[in-house]
Amino acid sequence: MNLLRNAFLCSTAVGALLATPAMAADPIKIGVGGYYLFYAVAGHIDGQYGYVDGSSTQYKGLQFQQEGEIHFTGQSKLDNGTTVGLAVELEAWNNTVAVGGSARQIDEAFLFAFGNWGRIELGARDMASFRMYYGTPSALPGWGFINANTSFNWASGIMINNPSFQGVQNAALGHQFQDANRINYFTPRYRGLQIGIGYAPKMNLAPGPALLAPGIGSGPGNNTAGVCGFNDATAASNCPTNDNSWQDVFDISANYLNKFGEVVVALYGGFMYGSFIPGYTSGVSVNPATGANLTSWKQWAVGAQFGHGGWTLGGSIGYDNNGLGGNWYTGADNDSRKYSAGLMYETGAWQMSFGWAGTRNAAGNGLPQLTAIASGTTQALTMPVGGTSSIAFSNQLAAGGLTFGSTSVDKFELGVNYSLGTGIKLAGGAIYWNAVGPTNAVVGQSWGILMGMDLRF
Amino acid sequence: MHSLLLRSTFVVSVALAAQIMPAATASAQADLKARCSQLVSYYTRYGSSRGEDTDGNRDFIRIGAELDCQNDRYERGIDALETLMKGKNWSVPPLPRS
Repeated sequence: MNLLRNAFLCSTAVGALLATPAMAADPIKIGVGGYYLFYAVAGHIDGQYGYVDGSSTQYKGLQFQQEGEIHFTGQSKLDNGTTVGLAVELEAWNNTVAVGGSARQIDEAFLFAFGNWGRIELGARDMASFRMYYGTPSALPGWGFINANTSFNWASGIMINNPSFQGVQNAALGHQFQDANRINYFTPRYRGLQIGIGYAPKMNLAPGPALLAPGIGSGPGNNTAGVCGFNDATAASNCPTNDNSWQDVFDISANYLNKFGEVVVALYGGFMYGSFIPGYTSGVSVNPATGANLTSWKQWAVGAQFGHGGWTLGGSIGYDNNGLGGNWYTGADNDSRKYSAGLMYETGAWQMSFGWAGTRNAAGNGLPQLTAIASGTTQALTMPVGGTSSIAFSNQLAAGGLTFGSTSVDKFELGVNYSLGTGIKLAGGAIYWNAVGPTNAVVGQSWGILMGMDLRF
Repeated sequence: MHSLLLRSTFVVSVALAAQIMPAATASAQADLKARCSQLVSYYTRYGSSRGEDTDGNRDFIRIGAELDCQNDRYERGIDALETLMKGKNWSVPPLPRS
């Protein structure tokens, strides 16, 4: 079945390219572009505390944040009307090296072709359904509700650990599945309607919130360059299948753009499914002590935006099971339910917006306590999880007893930007986060005032 | 004889005009379409750093202008895009070379 699907996708693309004799008018020449964003953030982030030994992490009230990318892009239009090209995106910053993982110098790298038959992309690229999204607007470049820059948040380590945290940053589909080797196809827009479909053979990544997957693992070498399914541009000659990873990840989405009088309407809906293929070693994709287990990954989202006279009103709701099944013992799920809404106004050189995003997660696998923190770091948090059911489901919290209860994160964002010239903006705003949950490993509040610049070149 | 010549000249002129006028109109429409496409691409390119931002490709004034152009309301779309760029202190790109 997969072979048939793949053959159909490939034959459609190749057929479109070869339908008429192709002779490029000019060879491909590479141009350079990209972006750079810088913010100073001032405010407050609640400290985090280990309740056993009194250790803690306190956060500075001022931080400088930046991100950027250098883009190399080239294309050539063939005589048959199809344009063929490539894009390579170089990170303009030094990414972290995950444990057992790799730095990510190259973000996306892909080949593309487009014409009156649609557009196809082959390579390391965001999934089609992620890019088709229309929903909550934001005037704060690099932040917002669709997919904030990698390091653009203002939160403690335990707030980020909250199972609901990622949802308020990522209202669209597939933020965990970005930039893996895949194929995307977008139909031509017909009467306002466009459909996008995508397929990735494999995703080699960790399940959703790490706190909800204690003691279980996925895939060989999560986030390791050179391994099939790496979550950024990589090269791998083969692709193991039975290794506790998500495979044959399909997504399909549609959006609709139209103008009725002076009102512009954008509607969006998308769905993603990735099969979980376990390995033959028992106890890797399940934790018999806690009942946590991995399963097929499912996501969906719908959104709408309306624009009139400089105003843009939008919102979306979404669902993400995080690749986690319902707990074996409690039956409760670990699914994130995502909501967001925002209002934006633009006039002249100004854009301004106010928006909210909230995510709820029942945390059916239970949550540990934060018992200790290694001094001076935000990473080495000790959060024991019982190795046996008798401990995991006990009130011996310091030894690994789990606590059950829902989690939530709410984020409010005020954004303003002012255009100084072509591709040059001043940007600023304010943010507030509130993370709630049943243990001290997932709670906290933060607020910040931002001021920065956004350059596009 | 003289009036016959005049009549013939008039008929030929009308016939030529009938041929030339639609061609000129079509050419003007094509120019407007190209201008609109140029401005849409330019705003998409420089309007936002990231595809997720609500500007550039996702700006609703730009989207509305592109929809106008797709529905043959070229002047309206071009006017909206030029106003948008000027309002943001941009240099509006010159007309594409024909």
